[in-house]
Amino acid sequence: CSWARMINHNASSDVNSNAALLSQALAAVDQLSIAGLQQLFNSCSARLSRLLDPLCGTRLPPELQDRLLGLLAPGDLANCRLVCSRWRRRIDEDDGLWLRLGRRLGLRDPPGNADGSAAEKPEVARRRVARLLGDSHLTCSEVAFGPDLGAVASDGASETDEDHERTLVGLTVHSNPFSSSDAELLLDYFEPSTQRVRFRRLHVSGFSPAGRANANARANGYCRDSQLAVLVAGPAGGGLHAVVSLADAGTTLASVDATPLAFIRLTDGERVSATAAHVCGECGRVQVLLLTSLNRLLLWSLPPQPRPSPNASTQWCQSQPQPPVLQVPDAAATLHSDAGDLFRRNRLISVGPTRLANQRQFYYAALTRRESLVTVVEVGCRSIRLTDRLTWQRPLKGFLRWSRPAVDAATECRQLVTMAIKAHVGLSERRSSLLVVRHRVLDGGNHHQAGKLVMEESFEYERTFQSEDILLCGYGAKFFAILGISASVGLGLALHRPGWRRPLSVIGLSSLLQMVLLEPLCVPLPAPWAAPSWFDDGLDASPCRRQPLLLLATGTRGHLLLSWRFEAPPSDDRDCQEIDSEEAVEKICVRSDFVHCAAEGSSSAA
Amino acid sequence: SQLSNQRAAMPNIKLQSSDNEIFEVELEIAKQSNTIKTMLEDLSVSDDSDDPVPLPNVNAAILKKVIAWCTHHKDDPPPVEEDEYKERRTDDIPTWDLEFMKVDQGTLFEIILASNYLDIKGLLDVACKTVANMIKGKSPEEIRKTFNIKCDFTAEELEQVRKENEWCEEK
Repeated sequence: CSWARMINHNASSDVNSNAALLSQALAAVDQLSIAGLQQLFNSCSARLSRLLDPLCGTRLPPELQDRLLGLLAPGDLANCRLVCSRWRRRIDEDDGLWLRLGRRLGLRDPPGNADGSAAEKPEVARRRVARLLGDSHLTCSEVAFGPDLGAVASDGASETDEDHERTLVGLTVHSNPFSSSDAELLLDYFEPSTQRVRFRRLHVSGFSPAGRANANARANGYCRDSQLAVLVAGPAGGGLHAVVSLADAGTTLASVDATPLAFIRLTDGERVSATAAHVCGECGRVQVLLLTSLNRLLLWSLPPQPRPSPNASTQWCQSQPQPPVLQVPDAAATLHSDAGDLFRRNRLISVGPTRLANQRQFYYAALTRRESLVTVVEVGCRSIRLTDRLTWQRPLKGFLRWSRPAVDAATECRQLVTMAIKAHVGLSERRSSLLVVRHRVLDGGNHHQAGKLVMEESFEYERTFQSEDILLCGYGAKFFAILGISASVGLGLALHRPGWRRPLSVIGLSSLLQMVLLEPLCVPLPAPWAAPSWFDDGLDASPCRRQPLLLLATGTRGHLLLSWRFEAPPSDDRDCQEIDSEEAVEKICVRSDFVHCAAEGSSSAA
Repeated sequence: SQLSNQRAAMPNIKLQSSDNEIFEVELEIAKQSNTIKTMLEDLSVSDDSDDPVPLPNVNAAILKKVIAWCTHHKDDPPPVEEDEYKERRTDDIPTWDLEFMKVDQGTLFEIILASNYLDIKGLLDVACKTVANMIKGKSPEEIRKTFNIKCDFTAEELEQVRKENEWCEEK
């Protein structure tokens, strides 16, 4: 027994250094009793198992253990967690392991501080991977392979192509200029149930590391019923990959996050030749079928995607019943301003309350058609201020790169393009977004002409910024109509910026009124009522309608206080619930009653 | 015959294991090990040098296996760098390598350590995939049996981990 203890304590992994020790031990074995031999064997066996433990043993260094773990699939890792407590700890506490798994599945790294401390990062990553796999329950199987596939594929493809022609209008892939690993999928499709063309933006993260998806994308898609299946193949990491994403097409969301549910590795020269998706009538599962140019057929089976809950964290998505296709009013569209569209349709209340920490500010900038003057407007919790006017000569990073092609496109296809930079200034981070709104007239003509069908496309790119970068701008025929010198209107004094010596300018009165009226609805006011949402279905139920709303515009020389209340009769509730057009905005303007308007200092009440 | 002459003319190098056994191998085969390659370059060892290259971390039995693997794979193309964020297959081990890796666990781990020390990526890959295949697709009990691991979970803890694992189980 003493020899056994000595072996356990002194033995090292090097055979040579143990040679003398072992020879002594072997010589002593003859003198051991049966019980002693048994004890020696048990002791050495335990030591041996500790040595040869592949994940927690002492023989393999940690980097080789990591390498082994990296070869295991999530399901195997789950089984390993059940082996013993040491294995479970080893797997749970491996930061890189879960991050790598998450990235493979298209998840972004969990932030170190937002979701928890750095120590909790692996756990957060593990939960996110678990949630994604648990929710999607992705099963992928290669259902056929070989020469007989042609017949199978042609049967399926004929129906697919026919429906595809009928349903899918177009799908384009944009790489995000501010992120090398994200892609935006812009999808037009026809929805048979409503007989309307829909537009949808899908954000796919981790798809295009080189940002070249746009150039080489092989896209195809199909939608039916309430599910939308999108498949895009493009270069990723040097090879061709395909992404299958599902999104709920039953709502009118303009934008959804489409988590890639599967990455398919395509060989060189292999292309996606057909996709199809349908909902199984019996089990309700969505089946996505992919046929490649090399006659490889893959089938995914996924559960139906749940509709987003009204109380979900993606509050800014669920609260906008926006039809992607707008109809220009029959009457003269006096209030159909692009500023309103931009303001309303780009979810300017999209930032959660925790990030901004009561210091929310939005900066908008308008650019005249001549592209010689940029006007920056700051919209705060209770204020609207014109903060700066900039000439075109100043360095406008990003805008120049993006505005020119957009403007060119607008000319070519009679689109109206509006772009703006939205800046969120918060305690923890500063982010800005480049918003691009494009109105495409489906039936020709100008989108301001009466009765025209206008399809809206909007997408948003995010990036961090420095304060001096808030310069950016918009482009559009009537974007934030800039009227002129403020003295002629009077409101300009209230919009005056401290220490600002440049000539005052104002934004158009109608646009200002829209913002004045609508901005308080955007702000999650504290109790007693719940946070209002933008054109939410629940607007009518919100007690805010019965409360006077206040807005204050301040400056060094005065402030403007506006107070009003809604006096719409209960019978008109339905109208309020269906605010999605400029006419509805106009109705709000008419019905709201300004009960108090005061100004101090030298500013005059307008 | 010309090829055999060229082979015969290829310079050899001597490798010394930790237990002082000398192995004479072709230089090109030995250079599959980046460690040996770097040592030869740094030490400016000439082809006709008779001094053995000491490999203090590899014993004779394992070095013999490593040389056998390198000899069989001497004409393989250099391995490519793999993206660590891509899923890696483990079912693509060649048949010869599968047979080669049919050794006891202790030897398998020694091969992993030796290939890691000698920086032979191909061998390390195959050996790691072999160990991974000993885990993949197995139940926790089978894994315990394979690696002689004792389950130290209480019944409650086991149930708790099972609940946490529900996300990956077949629905």
